[in-house]
Amino acid sequence: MNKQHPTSWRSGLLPAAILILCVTHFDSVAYGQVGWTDQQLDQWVFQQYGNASTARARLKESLKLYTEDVDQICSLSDAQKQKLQLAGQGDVERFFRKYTEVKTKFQAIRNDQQKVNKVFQDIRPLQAKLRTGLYDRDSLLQKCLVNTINRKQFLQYMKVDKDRQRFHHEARIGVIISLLDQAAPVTTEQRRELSELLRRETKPLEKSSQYDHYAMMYQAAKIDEGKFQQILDDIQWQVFNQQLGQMRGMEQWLKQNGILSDDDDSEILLPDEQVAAE
Amino acid sequence: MIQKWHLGRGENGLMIRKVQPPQRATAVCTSGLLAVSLTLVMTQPCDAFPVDFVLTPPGEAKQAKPEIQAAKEAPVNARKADDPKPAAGNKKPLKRGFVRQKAAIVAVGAAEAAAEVGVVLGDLINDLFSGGNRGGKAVVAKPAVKALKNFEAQYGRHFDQVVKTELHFIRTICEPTRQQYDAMATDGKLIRTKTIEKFALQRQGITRGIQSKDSNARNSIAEGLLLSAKRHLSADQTAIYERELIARKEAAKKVAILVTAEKLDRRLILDIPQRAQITKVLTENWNPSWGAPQMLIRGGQFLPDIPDLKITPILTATQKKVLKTTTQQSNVFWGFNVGRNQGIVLRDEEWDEESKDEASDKAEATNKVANADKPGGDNAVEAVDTKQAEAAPEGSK
Repeated sequence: MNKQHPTSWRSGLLPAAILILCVTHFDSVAYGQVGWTDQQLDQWVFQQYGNASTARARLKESLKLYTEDVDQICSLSDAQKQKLQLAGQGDVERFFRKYTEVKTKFQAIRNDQQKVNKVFQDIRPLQAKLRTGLYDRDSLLQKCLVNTINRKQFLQYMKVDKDRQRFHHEARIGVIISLLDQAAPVTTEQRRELSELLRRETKPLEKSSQYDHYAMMYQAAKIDEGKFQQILDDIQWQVFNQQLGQMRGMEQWLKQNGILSDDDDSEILLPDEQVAAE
Repeated sequence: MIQKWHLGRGENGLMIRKVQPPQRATAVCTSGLLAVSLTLVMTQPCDAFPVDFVLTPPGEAKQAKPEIQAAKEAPVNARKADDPKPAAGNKKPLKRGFVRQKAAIVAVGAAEAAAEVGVVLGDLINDLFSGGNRGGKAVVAKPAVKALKNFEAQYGRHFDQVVKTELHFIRTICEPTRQQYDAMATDGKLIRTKTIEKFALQRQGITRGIQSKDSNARNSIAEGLLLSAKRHLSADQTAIYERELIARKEAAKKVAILVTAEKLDRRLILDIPQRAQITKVLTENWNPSWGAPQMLIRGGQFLPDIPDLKITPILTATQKKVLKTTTQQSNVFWGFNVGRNQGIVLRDEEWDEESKDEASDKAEATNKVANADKPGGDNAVEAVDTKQAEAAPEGSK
């Protein structure tokens, strides 16, 4: 008796489904019609946030944290607080205006893979902005801050901010040495000397992102090799130099991703100092 | 005859899933005449774990293969090291019909029982279920031969680099003679093998979603070499190495805490007192997984699993809200860490020919003193081999 297995008809469905998928995929690829969705664009732009509304909520929370911090340091008046809030909201809106422009562009060409690739040139700065934070030196908030608070408040703020930068910088220096220690161990004395050298020869990062380590290693790679060789022995230097070597050609990539900026050397100046400088 | 039993699906044996501490996970296998019940007491959460074990019928325990014999002796050696009293448990007679009827093995605190019936469970299980604080210690791991070969082929050279750089470090700080160095290098080969076995086992676990806090291969190798140093170097030389190892661990811990505090600062914009308070809380609740290279390098991206309940009282309402929406990597294991020195061909140690003769004389003198102090000095390699198996997981604490 030739009894057919009750599920055998189902097994035929799978190859058929694969065939259909292949044909439709081939069809879309052949004509360059990929049909990317708005959700896909959101994932590209907002990455860890996932979508625009979550990103907006997180950016507003960051703004609130920031203004509360400035208020705690400088004891802001209500008017000053309001100005900062408005400026910060302006930064958020400015970001989303750019996002909307990119989205409109994307929607017009979403079925053309080649053109979608070009839109990535517009997406990358948005990604970089979210990575490093909206409220950097070029932000409306920072510009408003220096124009809103008085000299005394400004100096207090700068003192606390410098302290924070130093704290972050110490962590980044520690990471460099810790990773070297894991690859080619160093002595307590070498650890101390390396810390001092890196503290002396590198600067705290102006912008913070998930790539801070690379930015710091890039700075370390620019230090005169002889200074490291005075501290490390041949094998330690061989290992560390290989780690540094990977960073030496990364300047362009770091700049493209907003991790390094061209004007990293500039200091924040008060309005009267800006006038004097000009 | 030794029978190897693989329980459950797959070549790596029995799988027990979704059990939470302090439950007991029990699995029973019946095959032919044999029924085995295995009970493990959980001390930390785990989704799944593999069990590979070798079962030796009691009557044939004496004919066990050397590695099984070593496994049986390991807990005894460990006890001898810790406790001068002879281990009474080791002399208990085996129960009749134990294997034919039913074997119930409580893994935690039952190394003796395990040795008696010839059951070999992995370090993996001990580490996983006791978080490095094993009740029953010295149960020796043996990953599947094929898996071990593949692992060694893929990662062996990375472990070589770790051993080589660690030996170089010892040479730099302890200034051993050529003879002392060579003896340690020989031990280093055995330590490397044991560490590879340990991490191969760990990797088998990782593919099943098991986490292990002991991910740093250098810690295991350094612990092993410290034992070797105690055999071959003078007390002063060993003390130097030991001091440096402690300082290295402290430095790594300090950096991991600093980086974690920095990550929180970036997200929550802490004030100076808050930063100090949070650093204190993190120091008191330190977790070695915070120091994984990926956690250090990808600073802004990943936040480790921090003690929220102890941190939130320090924060403002807005900061609490932000922390609540921050994802913490509580169940991410980054794989084992062999240091970022891949792709480098490290130079071999160079020895000054002239100093070699002097070194030999010096070494002979040192060894005479060492052998006089330490009975069984000729068996140093054997001793290190056994001790390493016990010492490696201890390093993960």
